[in-house]
Amino acid sequence: MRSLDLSTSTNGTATVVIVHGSVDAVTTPRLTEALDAEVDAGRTRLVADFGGVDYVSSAGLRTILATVKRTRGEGGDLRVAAVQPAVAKVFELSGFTSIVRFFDDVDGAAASYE
Amino acid sequence: MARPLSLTKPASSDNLALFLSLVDVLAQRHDLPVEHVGDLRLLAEEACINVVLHAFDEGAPGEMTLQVGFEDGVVEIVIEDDGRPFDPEATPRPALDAQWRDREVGGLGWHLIRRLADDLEYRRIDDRNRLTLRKRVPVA
Repeated sequence: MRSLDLSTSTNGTATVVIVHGSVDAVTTPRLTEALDAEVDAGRTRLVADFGGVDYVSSAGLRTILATVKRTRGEGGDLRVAAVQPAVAKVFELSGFTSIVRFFDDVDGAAASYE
Repeated sequence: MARPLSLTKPASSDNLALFLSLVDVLAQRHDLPVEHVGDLRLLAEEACINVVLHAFDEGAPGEMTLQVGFEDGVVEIVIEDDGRPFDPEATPRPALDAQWRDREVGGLGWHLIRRLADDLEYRRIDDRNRLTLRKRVPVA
């Protein structure tokens, strides 16, 4: 059984959602819930720390794009940091590299909001 | 082909993790390179979730069989169900070059299957859907 662990922190003006594990059809509803809760609370400068993510499927891509659209609509963004090569390949195949802002590390993603 | 692994269960999201664990067992059994296991898992997940979400009326899932096997450097993933027929050619093709405002949320599952599978075969046999995906996986 693959798992997904989520936690949040702040870095400057950004809220960092630290994602660890597998972002698949089984686990993604929890990521969606976590991201929606941040936006509902008015925190729209989001960084997803994907350093610990080893797998993402279309369910995860759907949530990322939905959150990008929602946050940008409210003047914020969801920026994705520290993506591992296997996961980066899925983002590239899906054409996400031109619509989502990716950063090598969380500090860079957080600083991009300043 | 060496005897493939097979599991038949109701096509509900509750059983998805169990279905997908077959891919991990296959990978361990044949010591498949770790860099390919994610692709295999993705192929199986996207094909299974398609059945779970679209093959049956909501709340009334029929049974789905997932079979995975490996021989001569090729992994074969077969998904069978007795749900409504579908046409892989009619599945959506996402506009990958669209700006973020215009990108549809969703519709990427079949796109990933097409990109990652080396071979894709769909047949409707005796009122059952049978989707076969093959991927070459070099082993040392």
